[in-house]
Amino acid sequence: MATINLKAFPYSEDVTCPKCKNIITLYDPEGSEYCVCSSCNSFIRFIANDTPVIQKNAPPIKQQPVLKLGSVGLFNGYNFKVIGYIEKKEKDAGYAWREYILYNYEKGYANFAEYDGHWTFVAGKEFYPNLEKLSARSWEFIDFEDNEYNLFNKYTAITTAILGEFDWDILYEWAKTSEFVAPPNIIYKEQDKPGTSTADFYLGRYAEPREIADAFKTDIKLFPEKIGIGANQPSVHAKRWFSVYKLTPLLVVLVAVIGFISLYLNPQHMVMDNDFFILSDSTKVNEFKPFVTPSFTLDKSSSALEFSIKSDIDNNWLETTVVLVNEKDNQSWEVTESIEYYHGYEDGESWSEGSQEANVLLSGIPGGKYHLNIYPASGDTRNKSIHININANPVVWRNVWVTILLLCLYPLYAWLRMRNYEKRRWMNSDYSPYETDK
Amino acid sequence: MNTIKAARIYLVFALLIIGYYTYAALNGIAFWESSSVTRNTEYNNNSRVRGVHAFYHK
Repeated sequence: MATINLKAFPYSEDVTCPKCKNIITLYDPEGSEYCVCSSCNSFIRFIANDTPVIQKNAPPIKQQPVLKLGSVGLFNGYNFKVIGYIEKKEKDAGYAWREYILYNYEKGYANFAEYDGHWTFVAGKEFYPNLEKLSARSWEFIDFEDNEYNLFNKYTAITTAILGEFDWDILYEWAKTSEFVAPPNIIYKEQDKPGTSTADFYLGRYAEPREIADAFKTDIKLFPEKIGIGANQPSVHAKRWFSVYKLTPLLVVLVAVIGFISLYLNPQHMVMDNDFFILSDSTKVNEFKPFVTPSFTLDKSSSALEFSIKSDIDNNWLETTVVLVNEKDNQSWEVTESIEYYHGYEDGESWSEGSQEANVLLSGIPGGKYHLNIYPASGDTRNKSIHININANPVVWRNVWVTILLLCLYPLYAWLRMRNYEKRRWMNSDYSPYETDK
Repeated sequence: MNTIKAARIYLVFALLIIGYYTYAALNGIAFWESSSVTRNTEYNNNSRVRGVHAFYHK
């Protein structure tokens, strides 16, 4: 067992390799039961009276460790010393990763796991006592400390190369492992002995190479480049989404409240609702005599006006030019609207198209006295009337919908990016909750 | 508080939109009005050009 409950790192000791006489430095001489000679790769066990005995030859490492053995750093609130390096692979598959054994004099072992440039700080129940509450069931997910961890991967890990010192016989370790992810965290469930119901749980947290390099004073250039998306790599898009998804409904409510307040301060009111008789102009085809409506007043300094123009046309059309004229300064607004309404009965079915009504919205009309000049024309010269209705300060629904749409654009974008990111993450898993292309 | 900090750019953008929405609601301004509306540009000593819908009053 690693030496724990100390107040500082123990003094290191040098031992001589029984085979090649190379000097091996042990950083936890009391606690480490096994070590590897970096010169001849002998896997050495210390038996009674700390006598080194060669067990077998350890396979040589394929990659030089990024963190040097013996380097010290403050990480996650604990002082660690790197005392071991392990290369592992998945049984019957080509996936390989690296682990750095970190020794802390108070709690014992933790490690960094590195796969495709993605680093995870992993520690057991000595560092996270709540892991003790978990038990070995065959879950699809784990609820742990308010997070739901979803099954991401299952595999058997095989040690392919080692360096440094250990307190257990790592070469014989064939851990059956399940990974459960809740980025940036990951829980590893390891069963060393097949067929048993007991398991060890470890909690991992995604670590950026920069923070590891800073903590262990290592050149960041030595760290491998990230490839793809790590199993527990936090998503910046998820962070953006979770920061706005609760805010957006509040902002939409705020838009509604502002709408109600403006409606209360500037209530909608009708300034005209009249039928106007129209007379055909016998000198022009389809045209009627223009006419002027009674005046009306807008009290507010700036108002929106909503016009509704109706006529009882039947299988015909009507076009009218309406000019809103300010009687004080002759400022005017002109709008030409067409109404078409056709209907019939064909092949046993009734049909209709068009409408007998047209609507126009005018924006920011200054206060003052106004009248309308009307210039009607119609295909039906028997048409006798036009109905004009004008509301001041109407609810401008297009403003409401456009504002809500603009407020929702960024959350929608963040959600789509988050979903895309998660889909790519889960492409590396056999347990993806997303539909995958077969 | 962390939520607001993480979403501050969105919040600034949202408040600008809501600010203009409030201004428009209180002043009867539509984000856009009917496309067929034209305004005259010459009335009682005013010869400023306003927008693209300039026309001469009948």
